[in-house]
Amino acid sequence: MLLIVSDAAIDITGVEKRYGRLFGKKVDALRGVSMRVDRGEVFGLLGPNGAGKSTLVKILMTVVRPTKCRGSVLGQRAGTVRSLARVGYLPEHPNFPRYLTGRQIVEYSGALSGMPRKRRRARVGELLELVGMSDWGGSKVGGYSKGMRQRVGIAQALVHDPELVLLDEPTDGVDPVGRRDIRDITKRLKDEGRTVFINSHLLSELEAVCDRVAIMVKGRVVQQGTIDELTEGQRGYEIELPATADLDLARSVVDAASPEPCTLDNARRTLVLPTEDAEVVQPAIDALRARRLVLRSVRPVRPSLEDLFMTAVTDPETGRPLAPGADRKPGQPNPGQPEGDT
Amino acid sequence: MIALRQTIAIFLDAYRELAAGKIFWISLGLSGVVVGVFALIGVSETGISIVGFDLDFLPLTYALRSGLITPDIVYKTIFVNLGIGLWLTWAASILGVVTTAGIFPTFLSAGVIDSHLARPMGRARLFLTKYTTGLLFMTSQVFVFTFASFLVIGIRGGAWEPRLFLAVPIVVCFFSYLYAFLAIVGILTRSTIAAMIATFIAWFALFLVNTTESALLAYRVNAELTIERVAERVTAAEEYAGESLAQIRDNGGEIPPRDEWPDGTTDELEVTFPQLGERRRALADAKKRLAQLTPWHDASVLARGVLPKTKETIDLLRTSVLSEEDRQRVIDAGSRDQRNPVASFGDEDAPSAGEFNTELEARLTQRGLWWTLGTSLSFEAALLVFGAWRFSRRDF
Repeated sequence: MLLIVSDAAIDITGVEKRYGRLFGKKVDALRGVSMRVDRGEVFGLLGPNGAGKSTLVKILMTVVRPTKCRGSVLGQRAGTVRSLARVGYLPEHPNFPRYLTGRQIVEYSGALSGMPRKRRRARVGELLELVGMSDWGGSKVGGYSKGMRQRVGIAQALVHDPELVLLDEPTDGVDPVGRRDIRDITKRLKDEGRTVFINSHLLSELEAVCDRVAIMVKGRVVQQGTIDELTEGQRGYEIELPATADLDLARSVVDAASPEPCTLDNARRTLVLPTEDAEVVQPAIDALRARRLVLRSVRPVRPSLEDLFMTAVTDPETGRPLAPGADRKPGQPNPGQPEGDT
Repeated sequence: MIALRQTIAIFLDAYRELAAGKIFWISLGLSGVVVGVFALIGVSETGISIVGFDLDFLPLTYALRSGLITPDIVYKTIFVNLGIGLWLTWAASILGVVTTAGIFPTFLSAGVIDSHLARPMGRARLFLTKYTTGLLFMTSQVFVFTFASFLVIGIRGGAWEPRLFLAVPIVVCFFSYLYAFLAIVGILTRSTIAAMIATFIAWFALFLVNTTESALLAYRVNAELTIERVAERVTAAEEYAGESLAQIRDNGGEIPPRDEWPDGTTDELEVTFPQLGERRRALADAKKRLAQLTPWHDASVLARGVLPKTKETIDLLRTSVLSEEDRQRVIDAGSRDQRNPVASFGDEDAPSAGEFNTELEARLTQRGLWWTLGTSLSFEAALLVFGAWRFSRRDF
């Protein structure tokens, strides 16, 4: 592994992971993943099952050993024990001992991170309060619901005041109220200047809190950037017409008034202009109004994270979602993605 | 400092895990019962009794009454042979294996191992710390048992013997041989059942090798002592025959010619004293038997040389708690009216039980600490190095 000194929270290049026995079948879980997470941002990692998200998180946390990895985590070589001192981690399915109380788990976690006892004790109460578990801190984990365990899991990830927090499916099994709480905690962590890395299936959750996202498919990062960057060229204005409107007439009017042709969505009775410039939309509105057509609404639209995700996981040749799981044939390029485009 | 905090935390967690398990308390309760029974045993200069019933049939009774051994030696012998040798080494160890078999498989399960590996702590240190915490079960069991026994021996036997506490490191060392198997199989298979079964098989195999070697050693000692005794008799017979032959010749007598000698007679001495021939043949037979036995025993010693020595490890306690003189007294008392256990019935050349037991004890004592602990701990260390390597290299 080569060390690339970086001021980013996570800066990795060409991370590969191949599973398999010496003479058995090989599975390429990661096929040259490159990713940069800046300090102080909330970064979301998404992808279908088997895309390699958890493997990547585990490599960063040294739980899985990479086949190849270059880069750094908080300035330390990625995938090494030294990089972990200032990193907090919530595993995908935290399995806390049933004989411990929530308080003991957070304290144990602090001790494993090397915190002095006094500081640990003070921090535990504060964190249980933060995750809304103050009243349950003295109860054994055996009696906790999944959501409560997840909250304690977040508290234990934060106990040693980490600069970087990796949350693997933090809202898994958490009810809507809990999800909102976790979203608020994430925002608070960002406000405190921490970097938060979230791996989640819940696209709406990520969309609400993440500054930047990366989409992984079959062991590669196929898209990475802010939502705005990822939707660039796909944003537009949507003009909604009432049920009585003549849609074909409206379309011809808009096409005549706009530099680019619009698209018509008959089901939703909307015309979509492929521009994000409000100035460009005005002549179309004027033309429609000049023909006395009634407009129900005009609003800017952009693809949702779900739209981006679905595009990324759809095979462009067949138009169907890609099969879940990693490729079993090493070296085969990812469908829809040029070789080396990570 | 950080390493110390991490180690303390893992130990504290291990204690909590133990305390949360029922078997730990059941085992501790059973230890209490065993010590309770121990306390009920009365030993005095008049003999041994339990709840007022005299146990006159025990061989030690005579030794007590004749002043050969004192009550405190009897108490210490009971502690070593029954308390440690039977209860802790077998029953409590079985419970120990059952209790601790799940430590590594649970530790390696998803959601647990991730939380531990994501800490600023090297994998090898994490593995070895976790391994050491697994010995807490036996440490606490032996300590409580020994402390209670210390009180019993002090109060009832009048001997306050701090050396009894050597039982703690010795029994824990013994258990660590087994726990090393548990840890390795636990890491390789992540299965509690597989770890438990493999450890019991390994334990049984060690017991088998140990018993085979012990039995061969006993037969070898018996054969060697027999040869010594027969050789002495042959020498005495040769002297006697020589004197008889000289006397015959002095008196003008003659030895019959060779072709008139009985079958199997080799020289004039045997003609003069026919029993000499029998003794010489007995000596040759004994040497032949020893020659047949020796390679097998040497091979078993070699096999044991690299394996953990469970029996000898526990025996270290006996040699530590009882002085050489006390041990000899116990052997003498135990051998009284007893026959040599490995001698053939009616074998007059075989050594007596006392002679045989004393020699066997001397041979075992000669083996020394390196043979017992050095090689055993080296084997364990090799297993742990492999375990640490495997733990450090694998993905979770």
